[in-house]
Amino acid sequence: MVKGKEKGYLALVLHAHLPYVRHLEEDCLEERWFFEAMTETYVPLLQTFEKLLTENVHYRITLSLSPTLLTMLGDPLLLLRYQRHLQKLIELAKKEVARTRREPDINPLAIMYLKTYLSIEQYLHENQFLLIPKFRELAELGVLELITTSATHGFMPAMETEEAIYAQWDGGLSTFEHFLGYRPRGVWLPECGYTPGIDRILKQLGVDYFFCDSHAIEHAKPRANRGLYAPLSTGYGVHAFARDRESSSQVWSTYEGYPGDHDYREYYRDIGFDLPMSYIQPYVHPKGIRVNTGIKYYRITGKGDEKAPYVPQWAGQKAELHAGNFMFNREQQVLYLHEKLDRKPIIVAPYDAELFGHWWYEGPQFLYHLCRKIYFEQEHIQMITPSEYLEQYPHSDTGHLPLSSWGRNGYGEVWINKENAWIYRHLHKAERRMAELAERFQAPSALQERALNQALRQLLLAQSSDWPFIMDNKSMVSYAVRRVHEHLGNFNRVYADLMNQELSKSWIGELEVAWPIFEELSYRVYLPANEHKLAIASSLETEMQRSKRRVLMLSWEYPPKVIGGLSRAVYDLSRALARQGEEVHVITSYVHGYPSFEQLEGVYVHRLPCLLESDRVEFIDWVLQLNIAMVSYVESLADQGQHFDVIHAHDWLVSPASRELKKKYRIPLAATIHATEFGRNQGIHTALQHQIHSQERHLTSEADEVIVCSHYMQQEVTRLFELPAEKVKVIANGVDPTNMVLPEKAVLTRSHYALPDEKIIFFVGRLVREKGAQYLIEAAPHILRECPEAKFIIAGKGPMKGELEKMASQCGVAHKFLFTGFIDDNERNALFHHAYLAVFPSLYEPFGIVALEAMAAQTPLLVSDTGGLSEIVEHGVTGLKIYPGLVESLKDQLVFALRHEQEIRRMAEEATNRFNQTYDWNALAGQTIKIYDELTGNLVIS
Amino acid sequence: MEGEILELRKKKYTIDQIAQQLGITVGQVKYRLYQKNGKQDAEQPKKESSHQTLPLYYGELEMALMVQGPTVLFAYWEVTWPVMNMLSDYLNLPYEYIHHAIRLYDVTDIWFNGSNAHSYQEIAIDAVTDNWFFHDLQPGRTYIAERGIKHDQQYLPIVQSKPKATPPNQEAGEYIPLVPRIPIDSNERVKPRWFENFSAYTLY
Repeated sequence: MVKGKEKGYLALVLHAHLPYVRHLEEDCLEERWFFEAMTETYVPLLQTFEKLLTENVHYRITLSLSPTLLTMLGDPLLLLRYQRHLQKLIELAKKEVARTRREPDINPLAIMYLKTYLSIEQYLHENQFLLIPKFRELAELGVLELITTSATHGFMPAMETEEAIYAQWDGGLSTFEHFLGYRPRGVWLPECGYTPGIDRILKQLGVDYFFCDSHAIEHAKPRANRGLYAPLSTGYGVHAFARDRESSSQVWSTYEGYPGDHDYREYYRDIGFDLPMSYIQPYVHPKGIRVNTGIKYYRITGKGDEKAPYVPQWAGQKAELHAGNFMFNREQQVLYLHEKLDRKPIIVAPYDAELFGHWWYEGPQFLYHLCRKIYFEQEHIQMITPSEYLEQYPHSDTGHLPLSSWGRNGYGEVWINKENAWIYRHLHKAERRMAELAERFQAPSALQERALNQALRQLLLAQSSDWPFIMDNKSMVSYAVRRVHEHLGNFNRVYADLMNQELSKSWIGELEVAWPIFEELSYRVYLPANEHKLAIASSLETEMQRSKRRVLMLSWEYPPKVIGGLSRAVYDLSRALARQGEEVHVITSYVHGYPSFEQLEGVYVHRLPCLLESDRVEFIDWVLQLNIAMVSYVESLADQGQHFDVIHAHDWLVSPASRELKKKYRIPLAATIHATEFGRNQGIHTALQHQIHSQERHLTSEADEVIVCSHYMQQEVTRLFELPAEKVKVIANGVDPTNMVLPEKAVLTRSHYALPDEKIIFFVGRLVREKGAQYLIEAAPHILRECPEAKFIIAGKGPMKGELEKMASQCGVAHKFLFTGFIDDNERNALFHHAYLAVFPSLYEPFGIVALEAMAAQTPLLVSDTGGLSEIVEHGVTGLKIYPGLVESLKDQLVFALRHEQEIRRMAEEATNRFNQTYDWNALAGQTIKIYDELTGNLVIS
Repeated sequence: MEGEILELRKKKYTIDQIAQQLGITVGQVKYRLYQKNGKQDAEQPKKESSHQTLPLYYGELEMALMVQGPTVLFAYWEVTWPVMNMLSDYLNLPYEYIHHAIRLYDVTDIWFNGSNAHSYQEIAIDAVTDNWFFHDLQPGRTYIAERGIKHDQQYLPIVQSKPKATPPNQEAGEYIPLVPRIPIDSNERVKPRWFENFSAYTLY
């Protein structure tokens, strides 16, 4: 035909793939897949292609050679075995010629097989059994466009991570390059399995096009203007060529397809099954398992079981007839489409290569006739490769393609169903572990590197779409199951050995010998794509490297989340511990806008999101969520080889998680009880309080050591939870003096709060009953009568705020009270500075951190003689004390303080001294470390 | 019974297949294997047993959702012993007496916060069920699966999957905006611009 007259194009695409089957032991049944395909498909196709060339036929075929097939085609062991297989086959064919000499219908066929096999043998000997160079020659001549597919033909829509998909493609493309010497321009998607994002990865790897099934284009968004008859570009600029439905079904369909023609050879009547075992035994599996030999004497004949002998001449005529019909239909299509489209249409007809010759015996003849006819007998269509089409039309329309495949019903049904879905739990886990290994071992030793490459190899082999396909197909299932188990089992062992530093050189060597595929491929293809995420586990030292004791500190609040005093106390303690050489990991709840992992002043802070937002559910249900999150987080750290030496839990909110983690990992548990539910409520009155109370009980009972902040609390906790006294240790809280520094520019001047001659009486705390602000209001009228210079500042928020304000006006002292609401650290420090006296008339105070803050700020101090406060303040020496809840007592002491400025200033000085000696965090952390030492038996190398 | 289970296990049957073969529940198979494996571990070096057999559990709380097609999703999950214990403690009930459930939320085009789904379906399951096929779903929608428990008519989540989108299965409607072309240089990692069913692995 004359070039340029064509009205459209036909892209014939053959996809050749076999799973990697190569076993060191001889006579593996499944190895015959490769042998059969060699004899029936690969060599006959090459012979056909070359014959067309010698006849000066110009044709174009796109041939996909899968990386596993390429590896097998270049494998000396497999080729040697194939050579032996072929010799046996020739021997069998010779025997058949003799055996059938009295059967006139059959004997010519036996002769035909013998001739075919001899010609194949000759062809292979001429080429040293190496087919890849033959394919490359044809590609260099321009009649073939060679492409490839992903490393092991993994079904992409079933993969979980980007790393897995990337590695499959990188592995596939580099294997192709290894065997062919260049990178292909396009790829075959395994099973035409597309899922959005594959295009992004392909583009990054320099791929320009792929093939997809018809409905991927038909259901694209927006609609593809040119339909199936021009490629559609994805958003990332990869061209998708869609399979043409009509040309597909003419070849594929069991019912109306050409291969079902009655004159064609019947695949299922093989002498391996038809002849007596005594005769056929040497040519089937040595264990006496019947297999296909490839010698088949019957034609399809009809639907029944009665089969008539095969007549090669009739079949050859049919192949030519069908090629003509196929061409005619394509011509009609092109003529129609040419009128409708603004460019020359391309009809894409993709098939499994093994259909031609292996399943459809006459397939190569069909191809031969088709190429000839298109070249010699018509002018409307021309054969083309996708690359040539893209040269002519570099720009395609753009659209989003949906997830799709060419499998049954068009999606993932074949590979994800009740027969095979069990594999994905394991495959996905292995994907994540592989990414983790790649991230962790960035500078491996020589042996580690070999092991890492083996891990990658085993994972890739486990991912073949062939395994779930076989399970779905329900034939040879046990082999597929075995392969998945074997590769993932190997992977898991390499993973464990790497993590535990127990690599066995000889075993890694065995793996290398057993699976000689992807030898050029480095595990680094699995390096996590997302470099922006801080890799926590791998940023830490491994178990073997680390020298510090690792403390798992559980607290529901941690700065910036500050609800009560707990957050501050854990913050100060954790930093002080880190300064003294402990590796402290605080696991706490997520705060919007803050990093989920960071290292803050030496402390590793892990903030965990919950499935429920705390303001949407009951608090107690949210706490359960937090505990589940904490446990599963520590489990995944442990899974990645990160372990802890001691757990330090703070308060009931982390009770369930700390107890479960102690049990699961057998690590000692220290629990700090900052306050009890009983103390807060002066008893247990409600079901919720009861629930919290029992969490405290469980926590203190499970803990190996219980830490409280005062002797008062020691008594309370020992009594409430019936604990042995020696189990409960007192370690006071502290205050970080650097947090008490007055802001340099005191924007918050005194005049904001009081008149120059007024004396500021300062209260700060949550406005709840137990903090006692109400007594201050009650006492105020009496105090003001005697000392009108007093001015009360009530800082903090809480449920009683409104009530307190009302109370102040009822008592007629509202003008002498200022309710500031919540104040930040700066304002608090400024107020401590301006205050004449700080007052904390609490009813219940496990510790009383505010008193320490006043001491640190050198503010004179008046407190209730209760709980921890009574231990902090020595009456008349470091401050003044009152009877809790007694207004009279409060009034007396306040009036005394207002009238004896010099004395209370002297007390404040002494309080500051006392503070520096006793409540310094470094000293307190030292006491905590002693407890850790006892618990861990001071095991840690220091 | 143990013998038969082990025999089938040796033949690389899955737990599901064994259960089907012997006509017992998946939980019963797992229980017997768990008991058996526990004993075996003590006698044999670990390496031998880990060589060929895949673990029954990974000790990781997780849930994954996979797209089979426009109307079918597949979910699998694992609940670990510590979490079972915590739930059991919390409700003061043996774990197997707890009402277990899974949910599938339609979260198309929303930032899911646990309670703002367009719709959801809830399925009661038994304690040992660890995978599910959801059928008759809508094409072209985004879903999140969740494993949870029921208590006093109230549902509490335990673990959640990532969102997954079912593909559309018909021609796109009219007036769909054009898709912009994102320029990419080869050999450069590019972040996704549109929703994808797979995602980059996040290390803890």
